[in-house]
Amino acid sequence: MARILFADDDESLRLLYREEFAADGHELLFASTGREAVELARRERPDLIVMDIRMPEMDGLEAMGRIVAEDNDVPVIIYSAFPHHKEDFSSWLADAYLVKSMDLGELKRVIDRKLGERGSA
Amino acid sequence: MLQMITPDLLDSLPIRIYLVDREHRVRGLDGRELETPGAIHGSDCRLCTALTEQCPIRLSLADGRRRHLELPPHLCGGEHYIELDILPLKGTEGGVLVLERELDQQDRELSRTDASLERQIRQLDILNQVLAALQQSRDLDRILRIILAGLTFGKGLEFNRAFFFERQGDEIVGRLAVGPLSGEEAARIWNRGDLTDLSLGELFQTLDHEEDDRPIQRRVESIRFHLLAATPQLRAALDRPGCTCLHLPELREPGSLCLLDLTGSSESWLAPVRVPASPGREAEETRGFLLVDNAITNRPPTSDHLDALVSCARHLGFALERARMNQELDHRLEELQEAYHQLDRGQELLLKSEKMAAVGRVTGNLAHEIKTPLMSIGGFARLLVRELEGQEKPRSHADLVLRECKRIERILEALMDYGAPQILRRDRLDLRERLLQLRDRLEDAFRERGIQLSVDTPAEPCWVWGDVLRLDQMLHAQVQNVLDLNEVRRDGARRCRLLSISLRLEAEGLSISVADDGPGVPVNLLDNLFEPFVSGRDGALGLGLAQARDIARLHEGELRLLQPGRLGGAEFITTLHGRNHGQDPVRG
Repeated sequence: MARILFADDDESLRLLYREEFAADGHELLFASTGREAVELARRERPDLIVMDIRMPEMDGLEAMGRIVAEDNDVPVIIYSAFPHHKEDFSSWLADAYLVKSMDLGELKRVIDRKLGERGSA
Repeated sequence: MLQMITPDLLDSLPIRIYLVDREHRVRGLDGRELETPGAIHGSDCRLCTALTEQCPIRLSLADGRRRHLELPPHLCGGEHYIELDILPLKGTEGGVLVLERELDQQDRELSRTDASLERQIRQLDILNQVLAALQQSRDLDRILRIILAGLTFGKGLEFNRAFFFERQGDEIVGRLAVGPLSGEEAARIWNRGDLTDLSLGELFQTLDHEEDDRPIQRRVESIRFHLLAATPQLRAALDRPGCTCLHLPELREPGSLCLLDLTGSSESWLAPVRVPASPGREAEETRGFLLVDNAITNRPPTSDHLDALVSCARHLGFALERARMNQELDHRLEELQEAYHQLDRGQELLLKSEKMAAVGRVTGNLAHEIKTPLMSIGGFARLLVRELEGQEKPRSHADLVLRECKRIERILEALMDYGAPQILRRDRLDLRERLLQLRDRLEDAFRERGIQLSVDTPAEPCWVWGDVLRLDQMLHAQVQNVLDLNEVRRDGARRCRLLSISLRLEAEGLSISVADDGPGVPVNLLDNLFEPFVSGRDGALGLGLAQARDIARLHEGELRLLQPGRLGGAEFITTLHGRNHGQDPVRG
């Protein structure tokens, strides 16, 4: 069982993630802004972070930069509706970059793989 | 008019003759008329005074030298003074004869002078008309026609035939000729009322509309020779100002070429056509020559005719130079207009692309805003499908929601991709190889649809610095368009049976042609086919070709439609310009 932090400003999506991933037995943490994600990561030390980019107060790329600066080991998956942020070099810090889809199958597979690599699965 | 003088004749003349002898003593002034020639003949006189009944005239005879003779008007046709060459008198009889004869000759000379003046006036008139026509003409061919028509105009210079030979580097090339090639043709042409009655101006107009398939024109166009092959006489004539008479047999070197043999004349007159010095040209240059002859009538030209020929050659030189400068000016003007047009088009494209970019940004943002709730709807629909396992009807409803969500998601992804900033990842890639791979991937799919796919490429690699994914996307869009159009049923439209992709290596870069023998792009789409959201197929988003053109432009190229194309249907032609394409970037 792993501790996963989802950072997304959309409440419905957070609910969807809860429904989809709770069944896998993971402990789920949720943040609705980048700033909240940084604070949660610092306090709760998640095993993996799924980060949206467009969020109020602080966007996901900046939040990821701050989190990685404090804990370089935590894997971060950028999960954005925009594919073109891949060109932004600040997104290269992420362990994976996925384009959002209503089919969460790919996200699940990448999470499992990253957790497996980290030994937290 | 010489005739023996007799007393009767003397009596019939309206003059009376008196003699003045060497000592200036006048015989006959005493009133005695000379009744017989013998009486005069016997006088050794050097000075003679002839008096009319009404007024005296004086005829001074001194050793046969020319003297003025004042005559009354009725004797000399209105002139009071004439010049006579009077023979030394041996007798009065000779003096009278001389007077008679010289008056007659003077009449004839006056007539000749009148005729000559008339001819000169006509020639000057022709030259004036030629000059006026030249000044209004910018077209080189028309300038030449005017000159040659003027030289051969039947009521003026009257040369039988005229040719213009152009000097092109070290070659002489026959350019234009006017006149008959043979006596038979001359008779036919010169008896044509519709031509012989024309004024010179009307003749110029006629020449403008005349088909140039005359025998002499065909003959002159067949003449082309190197200057080294010309006779020394011809070569010398080209550098000589004025006019040179060429005549057979020309002085020939072994193997030299005789121009007169080619024009079919035994004697011709040549005037070099020289263009004046100008900025960029230090001295006069010989651009060719005018050649005229009277091969049909064999009439020798007068010096006036030859002066006119030289004058025409000189004016032709100026006209050629003016025509060249005009052409250069026109060329520059066209370049300016083209540059202006391109600038205008560029501005239009810039405005359009800025608008499209703005539309793209708005579309991208909008798609993101829609996608997020759509993910929730679709995600929960997926959960519902899973949870409603075993409840057929509600599950099928949830399934329907999921399918529709997926469709919307695909559209949104396409919109977001179109609206996203286009950044190329440039790599060195062989476009030929990409096309062959495309053929291998699609060949079976096309065959299943009854379409034969052919890919034609050069044997050698065709290098491109480009984004492999984007270029593939660009080609796919063009191929997909063929399939889309083929799917649309249009009344009477033929089905596509052949799709040909051809890659060519050209001087400017690479050219890719995607052509089919299908129905082509509907006419109502032709003007805005490359605009986003324009599609000939229901349900298609219409972004493929818009993106394909953007991709071509990002690769310093262009994508355009040619219809009908080389196979009768649509043909998309992508040109990738620039130094970065079409050559091995490693080898340069």
